[in-house]
Amino acid sequence: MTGDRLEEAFHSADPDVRRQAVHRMSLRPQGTPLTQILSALSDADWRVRREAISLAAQTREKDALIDALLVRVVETENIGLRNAAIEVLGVVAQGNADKFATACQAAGEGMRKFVVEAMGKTRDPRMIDHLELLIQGSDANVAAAAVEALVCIGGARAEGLLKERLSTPHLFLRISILEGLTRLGTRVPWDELRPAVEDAIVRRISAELLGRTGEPQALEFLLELATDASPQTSSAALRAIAELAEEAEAHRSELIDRLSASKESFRHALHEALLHGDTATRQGAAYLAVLCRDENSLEAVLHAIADDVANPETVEALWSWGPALIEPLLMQRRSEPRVWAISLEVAAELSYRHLDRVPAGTRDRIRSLIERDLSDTTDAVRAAAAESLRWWGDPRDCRALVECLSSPSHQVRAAATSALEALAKRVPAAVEEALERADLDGPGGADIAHVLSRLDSDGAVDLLKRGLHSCDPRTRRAVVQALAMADATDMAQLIGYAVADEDLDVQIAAVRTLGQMSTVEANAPLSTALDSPFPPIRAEAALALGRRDASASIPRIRALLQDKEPVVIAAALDALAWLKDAEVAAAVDRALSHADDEVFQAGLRAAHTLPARDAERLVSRGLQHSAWNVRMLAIKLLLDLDTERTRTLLTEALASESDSMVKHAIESGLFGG
Amino acid sequence: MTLLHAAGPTLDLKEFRLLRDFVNQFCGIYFADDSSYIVERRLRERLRELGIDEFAEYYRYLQYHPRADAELEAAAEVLTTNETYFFREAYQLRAFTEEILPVVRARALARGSKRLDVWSAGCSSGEEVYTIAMLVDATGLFEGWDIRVFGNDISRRVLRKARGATYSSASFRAMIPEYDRYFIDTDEGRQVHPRIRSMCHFGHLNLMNQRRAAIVGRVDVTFCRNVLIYFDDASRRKVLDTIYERLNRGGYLLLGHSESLLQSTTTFEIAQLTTDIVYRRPIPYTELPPRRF
Repeated sequence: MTGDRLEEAFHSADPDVRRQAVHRMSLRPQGTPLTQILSALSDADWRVRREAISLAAQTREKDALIDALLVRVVETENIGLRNAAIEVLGVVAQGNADKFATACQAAGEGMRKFVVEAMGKTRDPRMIDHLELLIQGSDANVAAAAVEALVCIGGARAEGLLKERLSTPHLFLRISILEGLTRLGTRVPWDELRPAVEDAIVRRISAELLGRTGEPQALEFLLELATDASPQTSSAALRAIAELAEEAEAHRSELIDRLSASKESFRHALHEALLHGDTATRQGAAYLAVLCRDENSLEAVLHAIADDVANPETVEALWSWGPALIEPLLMQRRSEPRVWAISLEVAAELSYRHLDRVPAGTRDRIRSLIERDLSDTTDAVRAAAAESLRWWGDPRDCRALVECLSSPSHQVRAAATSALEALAKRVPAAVEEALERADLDGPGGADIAHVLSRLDSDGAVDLLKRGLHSCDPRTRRAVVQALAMADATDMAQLIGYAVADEDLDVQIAAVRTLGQMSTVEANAPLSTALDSPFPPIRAEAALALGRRDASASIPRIRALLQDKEPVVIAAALDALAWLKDAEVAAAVDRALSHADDEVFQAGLRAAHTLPARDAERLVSRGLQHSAWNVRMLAIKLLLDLDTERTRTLLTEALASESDSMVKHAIESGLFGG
Repeated sequence: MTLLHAAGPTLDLKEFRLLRDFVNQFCGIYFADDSSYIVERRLRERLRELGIDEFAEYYRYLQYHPRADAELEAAAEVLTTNETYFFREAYQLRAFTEEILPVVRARALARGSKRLDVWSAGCSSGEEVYTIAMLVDATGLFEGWDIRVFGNDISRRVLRKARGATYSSASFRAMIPEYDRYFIDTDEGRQVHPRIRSMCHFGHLNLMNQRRAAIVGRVDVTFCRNVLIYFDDASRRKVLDTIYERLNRGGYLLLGHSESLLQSTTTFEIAQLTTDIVYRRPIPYTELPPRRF
């Protein structure tokens, strides 16, 4: 599009034409004049303004743009332009704290808060000095905007300033600070928080902070909030109580006693939250109900577990309930099938764990319920019964469990497989006998192969060989994986045939299995796999040959470095490094200039195998990579090299690292902990 | 059962973050670091199905396998939370029938139209879609109108259930008895009446796919309740833009009770109703009726 056409489109009456014109401007190599950027930012249509924000962020006249935007933020009546200006300043104005301070002083009353908002959007910690003064000023709107800006910037200093002002007598400001600290995830100690939340209105927005104190004294306030008429307040309080109970381990029993003795209104709120709350609230409520051993809420808790919203702490607390839970669980027989399924499974496992404390009559009842439910019409119940036989199963059950392996339900088959695996350790002969007539061509073929792999017998291997002829590729794949246990020459040949299987996943399994076998017979089919038309096969074959130390394959694997698929190049480089190929160094150089993360990471791994000086220099290039996982790998490899130079490099990287997990990896590697 | 047992491959924090970000880019759903156990538990089913032993290998599968696209869909399916029930958040539904529907009706009639379009964005197994249709029907305001309630979800499994329209007791935990007349008892559970079903339509749609969302057309009201809470900020913004685009001017957006747009967007305006706060696509000043003094 020519300049004139673009200009015409920029002034079109159709907002979408204007938006496209602004987008095209951002593609012009010569950049866009400031006046045009400002004009686009003040467009009446939000879509055009959004495009203009991206355009402005690319400007070459950054200083002039910042000056112009600061003027517009305080002078314009156009709300769209002001919001756009604030957003652009947030992107481009880092390192200009003094300019903001001047603009703030010059701004009229009522407009200053917009400058402060923009200060926050920059996320520049150098703004904090100015914000500290503004938060103490007399203009409540500006002070509240300064609080919000500090929250945007975050960090220890911003949090410290907010905590210092918690005792402000201005309610509006205090609420802003409390909300800010909540969003920042700050832990305010109980002694500091209590004076700030004496006021009932303030307390209503402080539930999360109260929960984070970890102090049992916070519970009384939270119990009051849990019965609030507003579902938001009540939900927040219940979540906070759950957090308090999790955090305050030393006081947990004291908290549980207090919760168990709480009023009916609290129980009601808990029950309602369990039924109708959002996921986080149900999660918290389920945990509390189990901690309080509230039998009336048990069905709702089991529902939460069935809906997969209960966290591991809740499940753990359920196990800690112990044998006293068994009878209430067995009373859930008439509940929804998913609820009954969980009840049966927990009751079966609890009775097994506490065998000596469970009456024989109860044990017999559970056993007969399992037998009955093993042929239930509901998959969830049938799966629970099968799973329960991990504990209660004996040779009599093997046949019924094998029948479960022909179920079309994945859940039922998985549970039966798990039970048969457990039984294969206790009564292998009975399991093998039951599997003799099993249908490897049915839906459970892969599961049968899985169980057979646990039986260390010739009979099991013969059965598995039959599975290689299955029509179902899932079964053939599982059989190939299972045959890895029989490391023999004739097996290598059989698995070699599977490299020519018509299904890609069977081929991958075959290549991998061959890679694990010690016989040299495996090398020939693996070499043919290097020519596969499928990239994952070529990659797996290279890796397998590398692991097998098949140095004769080096020339062919080197050729894969020219492959167009990153997965293949990465695998070839890994393989060549394992094979100690002399040309690895050159390949590393190319890999560290490759755009694909996986190739780059393979380059780092290969560099790590080079002489120490080269390894330090090349691996450290990973520290500057934009992907956090690549930086993590570089850190791991540098820590492994552990020289004075690598420690210096890591210390320098720590100063500029922004990702918390990567930072932690460096800190714990360098300083322990 | 596996909900209670920790058997199977384990997911370390690095693998979790890689998988989490991958799935997030695809469908917007976001898991905080402290919910890695959910991802681990739910994805184990996929690993087992594919015969894969480690999550690192599963990540590679999603990156490079020829069937990666289909697998990503399957992963998103197991990772999404599909828990819902009829007449959820009744106070909001009251606002919908008593305050929103009359306004929407008047606006449609002013346009000379007798058509009502409602979108349930992220409808899961369909309870909300049918609830909306029942509520519209029960008002009696739309006799002889063309009523279309469209529900979408990223999970094909829940859409199958939605189309079947047959539900067990868990879906009726907040049921309002006066609406019992819209259900027929069957051996499999309670089935929604064919008249209500005929108003309801379903589609497989990823809310992150803005172009494909054009299928929805223009709607008068969008329900997007307890969906955005599972998204990160950037994805939430993207979905809200899509919803905005799909709404008629003056159309309403209803979020779940724990959700608000305070931190997300300023494009919508707030509409304060008697029993609830909802959001609205602004009507340009030029289209507003003249002010009366």
